[in-house]
Amino acid sequence: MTTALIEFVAPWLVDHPDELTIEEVEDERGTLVLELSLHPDDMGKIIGRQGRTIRALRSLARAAGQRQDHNIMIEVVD
Amino acid sequence: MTHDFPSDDPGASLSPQEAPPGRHIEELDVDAAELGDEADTAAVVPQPLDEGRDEPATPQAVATTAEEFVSGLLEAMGLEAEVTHDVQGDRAFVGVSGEDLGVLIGRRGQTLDALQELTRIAVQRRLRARVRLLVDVEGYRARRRESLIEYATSMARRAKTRGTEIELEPMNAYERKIVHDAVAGVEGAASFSEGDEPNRKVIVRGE
Repeated sequence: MTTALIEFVAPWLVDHPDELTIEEVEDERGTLVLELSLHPDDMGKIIGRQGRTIRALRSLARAAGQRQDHNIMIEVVD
Repeated sequence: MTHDFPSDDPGASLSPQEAPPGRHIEELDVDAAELGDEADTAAVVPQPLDEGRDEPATPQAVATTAEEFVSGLLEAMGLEAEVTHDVQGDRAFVGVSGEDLGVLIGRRGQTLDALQELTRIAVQRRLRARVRLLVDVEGYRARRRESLIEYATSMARRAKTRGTEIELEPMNAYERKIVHDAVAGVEGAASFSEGDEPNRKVIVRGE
């Protein structure tokens, strides 16, 4: 569901949404970590000015995760 | 009207012993599920453009594009909700209503602020123009505004009666303005802001 959220948002925010991949990793504390990799030119776009975009995205992802009763983190990876 | 709610947000509030002598610390903790919010910072404070021109978009274009974004987003989140758009003056408005949407408002409206911010960024990029936008869920912002005014007025009266300073919880710029305006309406009370964002807070003082 959180993956769906990111897949929906991506075309609105980045230039190469087709190059977005999302890897789901569960860490040792049971937190679901979504690792996003993007076209190099899109990294800054998903992060946004002063991290505004990624912060908002994280906040909404947490809300979506809350409904399914698990913790969610979003990381942007190289 | 004394509020003493624990905060799970480190640094968001000072404990009483950290307050300057003679100053009370008050917290207004509004439960997202039952009260409203008008944390309209994004729509009031000028924001830099991620991409785009200084030309403002028409409020109508902003409203319909924002509705499209919010509808799709909520669907992706698996939330059933009704999304409507409207234009109020020169500002686009998107309203979300439905069952069980507290999760979309969050603690002190933080999730709602994130929703509004992400919507603004997305619409701004799509329209390549400056965007003024307000997103609300279940009338939360309007109710929060009412409760802030009531709270600020009561704190102003208390500060006046006691002749002390009362320190309120941290608020964003828009909420602080609502508080300052409300305190200004109470004779014999004044207010000012202190501290740095995001922990800037209003101090109410009896004169």
